[in-house]
Amino acid sequence: MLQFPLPRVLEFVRGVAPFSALDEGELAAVVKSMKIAFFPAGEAILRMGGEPALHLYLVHSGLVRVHLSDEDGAEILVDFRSEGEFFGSVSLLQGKQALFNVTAEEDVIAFLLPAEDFKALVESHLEFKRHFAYSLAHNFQGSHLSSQGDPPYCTDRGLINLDMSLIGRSVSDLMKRDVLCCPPDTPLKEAAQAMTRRGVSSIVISGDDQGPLGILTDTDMRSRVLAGGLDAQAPVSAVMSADLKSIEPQVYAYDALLNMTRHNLSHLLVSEGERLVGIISMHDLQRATGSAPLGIIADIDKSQSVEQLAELHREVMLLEEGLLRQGGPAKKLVGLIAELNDRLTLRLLHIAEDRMRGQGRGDPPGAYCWLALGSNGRREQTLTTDQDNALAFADPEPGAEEDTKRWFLDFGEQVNEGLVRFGFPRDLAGMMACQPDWCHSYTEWRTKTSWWIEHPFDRTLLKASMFFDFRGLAVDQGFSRELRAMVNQASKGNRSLFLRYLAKNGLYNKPPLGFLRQFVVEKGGERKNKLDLKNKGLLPVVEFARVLALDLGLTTTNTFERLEAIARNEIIDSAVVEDMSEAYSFLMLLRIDHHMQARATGHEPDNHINPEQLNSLQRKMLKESFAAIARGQEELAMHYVTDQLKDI
Amino acid sequence: MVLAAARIKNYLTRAFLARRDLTNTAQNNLIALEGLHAGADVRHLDYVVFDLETSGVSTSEDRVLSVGAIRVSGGLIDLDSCFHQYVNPGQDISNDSVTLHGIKPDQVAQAPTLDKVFHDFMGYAGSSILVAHQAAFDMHFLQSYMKRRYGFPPQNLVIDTLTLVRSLFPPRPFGYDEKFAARPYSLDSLVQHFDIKLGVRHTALGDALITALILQRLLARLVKVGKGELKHLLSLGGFQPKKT
Repeated sequence: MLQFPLPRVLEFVRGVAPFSALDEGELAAVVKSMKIAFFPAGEAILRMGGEPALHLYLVHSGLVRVHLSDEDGAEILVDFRSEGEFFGSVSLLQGKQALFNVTAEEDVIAFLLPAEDFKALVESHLEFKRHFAYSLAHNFQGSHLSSQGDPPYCTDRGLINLDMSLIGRSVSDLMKRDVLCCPPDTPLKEAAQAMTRRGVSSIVISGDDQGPLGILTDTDMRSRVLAGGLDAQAPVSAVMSADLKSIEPQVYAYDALLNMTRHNLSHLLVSEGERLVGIISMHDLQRATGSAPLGIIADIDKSQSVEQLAELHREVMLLEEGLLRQGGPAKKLVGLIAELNDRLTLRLLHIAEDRMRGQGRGDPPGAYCWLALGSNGRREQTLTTDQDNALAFADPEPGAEEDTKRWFLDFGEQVNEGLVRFGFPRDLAGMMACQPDWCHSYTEWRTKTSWWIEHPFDRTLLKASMFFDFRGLAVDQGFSRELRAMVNQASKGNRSLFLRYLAKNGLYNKPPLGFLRQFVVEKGGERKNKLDLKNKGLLPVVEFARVLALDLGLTTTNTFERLEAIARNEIIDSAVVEDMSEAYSFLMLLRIDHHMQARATGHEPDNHINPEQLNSLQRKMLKESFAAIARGQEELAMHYVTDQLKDI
Repeated sequence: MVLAAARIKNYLTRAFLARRDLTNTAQNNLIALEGLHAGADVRHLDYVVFDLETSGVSTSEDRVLSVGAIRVSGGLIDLDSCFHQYVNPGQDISNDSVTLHGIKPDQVAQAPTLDKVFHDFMGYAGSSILVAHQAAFDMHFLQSYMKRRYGFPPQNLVIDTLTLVRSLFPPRPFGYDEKFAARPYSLDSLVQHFDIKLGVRHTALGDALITALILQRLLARLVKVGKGELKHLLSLGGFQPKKT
């Protein structure tokens, strides 16, 4: 076939997922069906509630703003879309009016794919179906976000990964066909009993002509009947919701999800024309997903062996990826991952204890405390992290010191090995519980940490900064609390020498912004033109927060929580601290995104990004973030007068 | 006023040709101005943006090597409706020019003649408004073909994006913008100024696409400054062929 004669047009479309999945012939045919539009800054492209979109819009250059207008006409920002991103897909797939306003924020060139060509691609290519099901989920999140202020990436309804598992399934696949009905004059008590008997969460109230009049769900029962103190003999018609929404059985399950979320309903009637053929609930959708986090957590807790746990590895990875892809505030995202990792570690500790017994080594010689260190200690792990941990055990009886330490070292080795099996590589620096340097009795730890604090120099500062984000996981958390109190006590006292040196060390890595606020990228080598997000961006914030947290005697190790507390204490200008927190969150999301991209393309995730490959909004925010961190560092330097410390 | 003038010329041409037998292409071209009115919204009109690659910059000595065109209708560039054709120049191509446009002699050796390509092009363009950057150059070849073949110049309205951009973005009265000092309205400068990343320069279709992208911006600009009607477009960017 004839090659498409505009190579750059073709190249651009080829570079955008999911178009990248098309073969050359298909791609050329799709590109030929496209049109190119120009929208000057400020022009309204789609209007909320206006005509359904006629095209899928792919932004080639510039930036559009996706926003909602609330009842008062005030604008709620939902999202920005820039180079290589789409809008209009939800309206297209639903054939319904646009859900959002879309306005050109800058001059925009967009590629327009006509509705019928787009639908044909979604029908014929799994990649398209998958991709745009995601965008549906994201959009509904956007509307949710704006109305409730908290994204439902992981609500008790188990919305996680919903989109993935709902792809390609229709409402009729998931609905309940046998709908429980009752006449409007049925007493509440009878209706409740019928629901319990049938084990369903809703009852449809229908009149003589069998047309549904309303619905009563178990949530309504709880909130309106029980809490409202209504008489059990009152008719169901007094409390039912007359606001019924129905959906057709052949539409996609994610349409049902979208509908429920938009109207804040837990149930939808399924009808063919006038006929009621079934009912579908949020619970049905949730069950269909199978991979809700609660399920996985239960599986982890049930595991009896390292092998069983290792089998869950893939599922946990998928769940984590799903979570991260769904987006949301960085703190909550990584918090959830930490929760999963903690569960896993706890389980491994039990399994390792059992194995020690099985090997004739007996019970633990005494109480012990597993210490999560580094990002794990701060509850800030993302997808790829080495394991950082240590072990503390109750002081052994005199004479038993050596045996006790031996027992815990071997025990630590089992846990460390289990973590390796689960995908956490061993720490290169050897900061692990199976290493003699990181496995000590309570007294030894107390002595060690005090010594670090009293003798701040190179090696001790390094160890202190690695260790002082410790978080006790099990079994004897009392020790962890006690050690925290002690460390805080020892380092407290404004501007102790230890803290000042710790602050000075924390200033070593500076955000890569030049004098004119341009990015300062690596000059050569493998990382030419790239920025180090971790060392130049995230680490300075972690160190900033750690120093001040020790100074204030905070017990939390989480950087976000530390920053919150620091801002409240106002030892550093709170606006500066809040900006740093924003910056930290943004950098973390950017890093996660970068890791996900690397993983999707089969590369080893790293922390180096090329700012040229970001879109203009991301670049803007990245600069803001680095600038905020630099301001924080200046404040830190001033507060601890670090420039008057001599080098160590 | 300009549209009226074009109509009068068109009327005279048609009166002059009244009794001749004309091909379809010629007949269709003669009615190119029908249905247009001075108050039409510039975003709703049909345009054909075109560019010629030639063996040099002389209209008298150099030959056309390829013709590229792209349609803009309803404000949208239609990627399904591209016109791209190499032309057999009937003579050797100089080495100097090959380095610019990259068209190699063997590419054009099998290509149709200019008459055939222009015939197809006029069929493709129909009654659309023709648009070119520095239209005088490209129109020279098209006019001489039409006159030679049919005895009258193309009747389509013609817009010169260079004239239009100069009218909409007048040069700075004092000093100069160092970035675009040499030729501020050249296609290269405009590509840079508008940050246009689509379209490969110095291919007929690539330049046509770039010109179409510029046209879109200029039309949006016209609307923004309250001059979004055909009459404004013609008065600010209309191309007037020299009397020959």
